[in-house]
Amino acid sequence: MIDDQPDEDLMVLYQRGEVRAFEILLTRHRKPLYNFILRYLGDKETAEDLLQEAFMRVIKGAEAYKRQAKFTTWLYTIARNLCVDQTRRRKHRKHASLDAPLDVSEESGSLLDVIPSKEMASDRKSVNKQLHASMQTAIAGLSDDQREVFLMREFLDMPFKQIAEVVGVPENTVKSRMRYALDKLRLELDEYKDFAKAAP
Amino acid sequence: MTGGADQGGNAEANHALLDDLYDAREDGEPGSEELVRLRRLREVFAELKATQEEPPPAGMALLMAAARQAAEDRRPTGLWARLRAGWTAMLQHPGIAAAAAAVLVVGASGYLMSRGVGESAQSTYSSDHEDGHGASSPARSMEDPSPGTAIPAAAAEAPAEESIRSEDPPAPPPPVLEGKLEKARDSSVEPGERGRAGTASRGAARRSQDEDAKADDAWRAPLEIATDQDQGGLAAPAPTVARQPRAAAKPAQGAPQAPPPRTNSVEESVEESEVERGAPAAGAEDEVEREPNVPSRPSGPSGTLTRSSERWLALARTAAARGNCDAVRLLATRVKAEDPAFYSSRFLKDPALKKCL
Repeated sequence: MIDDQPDEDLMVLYQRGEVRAFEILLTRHRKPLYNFILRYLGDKETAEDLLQEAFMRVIKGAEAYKRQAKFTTWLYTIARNLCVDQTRRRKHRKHASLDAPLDVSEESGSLLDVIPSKEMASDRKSVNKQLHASMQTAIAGLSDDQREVFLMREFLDMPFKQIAEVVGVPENTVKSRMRYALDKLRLELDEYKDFAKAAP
Repeated sequence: MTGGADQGGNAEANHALLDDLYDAREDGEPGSEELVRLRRLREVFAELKATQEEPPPAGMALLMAAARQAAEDRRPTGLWARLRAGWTAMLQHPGIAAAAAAVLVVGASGYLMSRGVGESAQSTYSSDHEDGHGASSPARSMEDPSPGTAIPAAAAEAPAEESIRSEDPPAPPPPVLEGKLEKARDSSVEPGERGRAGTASRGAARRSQDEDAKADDAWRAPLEIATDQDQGGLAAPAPTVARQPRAAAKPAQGAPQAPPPRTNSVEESVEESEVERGAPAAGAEDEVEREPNVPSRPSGPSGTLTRSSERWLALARTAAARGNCDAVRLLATRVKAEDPAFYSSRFLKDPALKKCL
């Protein structure tokens, strides 16, 4: 079954002209990649654009793809580079407000909007909403280096070694960045740890 | 320095902590207080992790269209391009690449092994053939199966056979066996030349084995020669139709029983030993007669031996008739070694050979 094949085999199939293989790859990675970009940049529209752009680059680069390379490493390297470029562009245009950490008290913050919290009890819902907003704020408050490492490790379950390949730094540097990120987030989210523990 | 060492130690501790946090020690020992705190923090992240935003579906259609277009553009057009693309894609898989390499190596070596024997014989023959042009005429006549070496006189003596021959598919004319006997007689011939001649005849013999239908008839060569000597020379190759009456007439002269089908091993061993002993080459005789259709003959080791001995007997008779007793003695030694029973019962008692033995 083509659906069960590893990413690398699917990519080789797509190289040979099997469009169905690309469709499977797209279905598999679209959602996590979109959420990675969204959490990295905090902007839905840009996330959509960059998601498109990342997969377009996969399509264009398919011919040069070598099976020995891990597909996710390649895909997330593309996505991460797009995010870095986008961040630089924003900074250059002095759109500081988009990068600035959101105030937790501002419930209408853009990052909060991207987190759905349906089908929850109203009290729980409100706490969750607050928690999500706080987390998003805390994540946005991390430096770019720390944020990308944190997102890849925590939300994409990438091993540190693979993150090092994507980011292009030694594995120990990745771990150091992760350690700093966790320390920062713990300070921000300390009050929610009991809530998370009590969550059903 | 101490501060740096401390920092290094801290970094290592932090990295170990992260390994513990994200690796499989979740159900194991509780770990340090710091580890417990970080695990609680991760539980908070799990809330956020569980809620993932769905990307807009519109983009998917666009991407699929682009992917389809790119696949179309990439699709190879020519046959060679398709083959190449298929191979490239397959060989990118390490397992398939290894298997393909193994198949290639085995196939190539198999091909070379099967081809190598014939090729080396062919090349040896070719070089000897070229040498033969500069060599003395007897040696050349033995090696060179070109039409120029055939004796037309014999053909002229048998017009009935000629008419049948003209209907046969073109067969290479025989080498002149006289040269072979001359060579055995002529002590001035260099041993090296003799070896070359032997090699050439082996090469010719192997080529003739490739033409298996023709090669099966070489056993008749000595008989042919023995018969032809009465006509004062060697005859050009005659078809089966023309020869069979003569073969049938052979028993009156003590002709051999019909030999078994030739096996490569026997022939090769005979040829090898001939080269070693400097005896007339059997390979040259293989070229004397080439007929595609030969009735089957009984097989078996004794039959093969008798057939071989009969050949030597016939050759010895020819040599004896020409007064070449050296060749007769050489053949006698050979037959004695190969088939002592035949030697004592037939060879020694042959009236034509008595004067030489």
